[in-house]
Amino acid sequence: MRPDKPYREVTVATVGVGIVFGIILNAAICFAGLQIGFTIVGCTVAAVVGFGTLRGILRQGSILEVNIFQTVASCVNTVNAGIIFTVPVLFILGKEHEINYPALVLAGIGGAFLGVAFIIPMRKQILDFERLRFPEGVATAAILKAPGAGIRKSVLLVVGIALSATTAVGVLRGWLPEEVDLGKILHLPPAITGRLAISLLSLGAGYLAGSHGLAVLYGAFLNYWFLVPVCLFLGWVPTEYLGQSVWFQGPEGLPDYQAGSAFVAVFRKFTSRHVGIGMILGGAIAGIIVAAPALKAALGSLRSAKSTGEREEVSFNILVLVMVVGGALVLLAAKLAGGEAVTWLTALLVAGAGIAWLWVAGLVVAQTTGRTDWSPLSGLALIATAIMMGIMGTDDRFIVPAVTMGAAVCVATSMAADMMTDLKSGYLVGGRPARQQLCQLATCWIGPGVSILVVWGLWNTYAFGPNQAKILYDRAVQENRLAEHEEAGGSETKLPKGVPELGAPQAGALQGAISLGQAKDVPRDKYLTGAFLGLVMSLLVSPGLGVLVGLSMYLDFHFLLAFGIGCLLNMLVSKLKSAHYAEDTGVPLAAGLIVGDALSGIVHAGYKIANSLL
Amino acid sequence: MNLLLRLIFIIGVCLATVGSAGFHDPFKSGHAADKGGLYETWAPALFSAGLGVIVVGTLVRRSVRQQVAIAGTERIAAARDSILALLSCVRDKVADLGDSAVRLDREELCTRVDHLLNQEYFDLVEKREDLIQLAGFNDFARIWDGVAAAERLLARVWSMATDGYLREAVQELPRALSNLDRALAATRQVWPTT
Repeated sequence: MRPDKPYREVTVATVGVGIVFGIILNAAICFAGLQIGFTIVGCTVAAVVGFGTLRGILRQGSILEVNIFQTVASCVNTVNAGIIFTVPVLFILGKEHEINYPALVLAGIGGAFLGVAFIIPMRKQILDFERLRFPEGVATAAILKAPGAGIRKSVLLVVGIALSATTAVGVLRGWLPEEVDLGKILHLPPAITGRLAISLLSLGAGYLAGSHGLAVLYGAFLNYWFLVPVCLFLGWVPTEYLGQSVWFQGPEGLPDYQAGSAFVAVFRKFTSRHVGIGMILGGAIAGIIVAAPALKAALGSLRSAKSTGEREEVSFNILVLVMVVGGALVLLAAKLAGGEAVTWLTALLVAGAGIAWLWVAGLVVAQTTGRTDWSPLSGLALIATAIMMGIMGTDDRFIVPAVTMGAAVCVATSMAADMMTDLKSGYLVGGRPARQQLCQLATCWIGPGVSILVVWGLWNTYAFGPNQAKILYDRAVQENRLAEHEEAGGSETKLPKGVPELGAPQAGALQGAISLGQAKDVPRDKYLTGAFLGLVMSLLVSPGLGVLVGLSMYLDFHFLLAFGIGCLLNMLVSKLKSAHYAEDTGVPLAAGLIVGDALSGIVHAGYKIANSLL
Repeated sequence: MNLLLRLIFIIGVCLATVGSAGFHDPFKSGHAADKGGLYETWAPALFSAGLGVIVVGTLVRRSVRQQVAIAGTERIAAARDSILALLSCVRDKVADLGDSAVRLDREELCTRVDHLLNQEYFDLVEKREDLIQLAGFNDFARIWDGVAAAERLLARVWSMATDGYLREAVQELPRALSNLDRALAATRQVWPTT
């Protein structure tokens, strides 16, 4: 850094390189996401690359400049989660010829604008007043602050990264197990799951959440250790499990842990996820009710001009303009996607409902990400699609517009979580929120087109989904190159050599939800009672409780247990040493655990891509 | 009493969650011969009972808090004074830092800001929930707005100083100070007698 030059924060070069890196990350994670079934947020990876490029190679990046770099890069990248959770289902359902690609891109861009614009007024409430942790944001700030953090903290950060990266690679390569079945070791009944994920990322996130994240563990025990056995006893389980005991005794009278795990997975789909999503919604609505005065004050202060000093938030007029543009794009997308089947009035209803839901979903995801680093993105996308089908109808011709709107909602919610995470790391390093917000608004429109292009490209080149092999086989037949296809090892059930396996598992979940919707088999009452319970819990017992307990009913036990152990570790260290020590020593180490896992995920994704293409 | 209250809430949540799990067509669980049943038999009763227990727990907690508030006036005053003392201490340290910053080199400035953020500011943040209880959320927000803005500006001072930009870093200190003054002024409006 050269103090004779002005202090660098937002520069054209930083934003430009951030966009380029974001596009590369977006494309890579789209591919990897269709393969492995989940995406990587990328803030920490972007921070590491920005640090290495701007400070290491170019020798001119300031801490705040690298913060802007990672804000832009993660903004352009993050939308891929919203796209790959929704759009692939249209191809899998055989509707690729009905897709209106301009509508899809417009929906993605509109969703991105709305997601960012809607969450910005909540910044003070979420970051300043509630001080939600945003573990990924804390980890990103730890990277940004590494130059001045001192040897001790830097060593702790690197140790955390090395530990986590080694463990993650070990799990990905099969050298370490993905999980340990503590239930089997402790001879618990098979219906009471005790699986613990070998995930140092979850452990680190739990440590950073501390005692405030413990509700996640309570929810996990409520669902998996109480609700599952009680429902089994009452017979409130799918027919095939009626009369089954918690011991799941096999033919030799021994507990069958595999059968028990299979039942728990089925019960999650039958009950837990629906009640959990309902609780999250109810908890989020309670949060809005509680935060309404603060939100009103925040909007008021956005409207009033700053008399001294620089504006903290982006101006109210810009936000309103972005919301209007975003809303118009979503409306246009709804009409274009539906074509003649959707009137302008229906498009207005659909867009209005979608935008309202998008606002609530953005708040939900900001809360859950802020407390745990997890977000029920796919669950919220399922509900968005169900709402759209509820308005338009469950006919086949409405699936494309419903999923298009679902994509807008999903992109918006991922952008809301990303904006808050970036603002958290900005808070910790002293970034001006208005500058980060402007950079995000200026670049959020780029990602959706990139993700959609990648998905389209992958479909046309490799196909994807559970029937990928059959689809490629049929294409070979149609194009008169069956002999060549079979020579490369391809058949109706086997992929030819050189074609990566792209299972697109998230699309499978959405496909299941669409089928439920069309069969009018949505468990609406479980959602409603869950929502009411979540509302009551958050309003009467403890703020945010409904969201956390609902999230833990929605997610898989083995990650929740790792997260909960992290929370308990923080509390133990605080008790044995001091809260200062737990923060000073524990935070860099925990941040390193998060960064290491993310980095190894990216490297593994790159390795898989290179392997399949060569 | 805390333990009893927690137990009441846990029982309420457990009952209501089990009730919620019964809100499906009993045919799906093989409990009805024909499709078309509404809910499992005990589901609505369990759900309502759970909600009822939660409401009872809330009323008990409210009553206990009112009694504690009446009986613990001195304790409340002590808690409030402790927070005000911490806030004043932080303000004075930032003012002192502003006065002496021109004489400090990069490392000294970073060390002092780091110490302030990790010690006094950390202690103040630990009292955040006490402040919400004492002042109510709206008044807490008026006070904390300045505290949070100042914390962010101090982090900015640290970052700029770490990057070697001492002059720019020092220019942020008066802004941090004015935000802390704003927070203190808000406390005087909330508690005029202090």
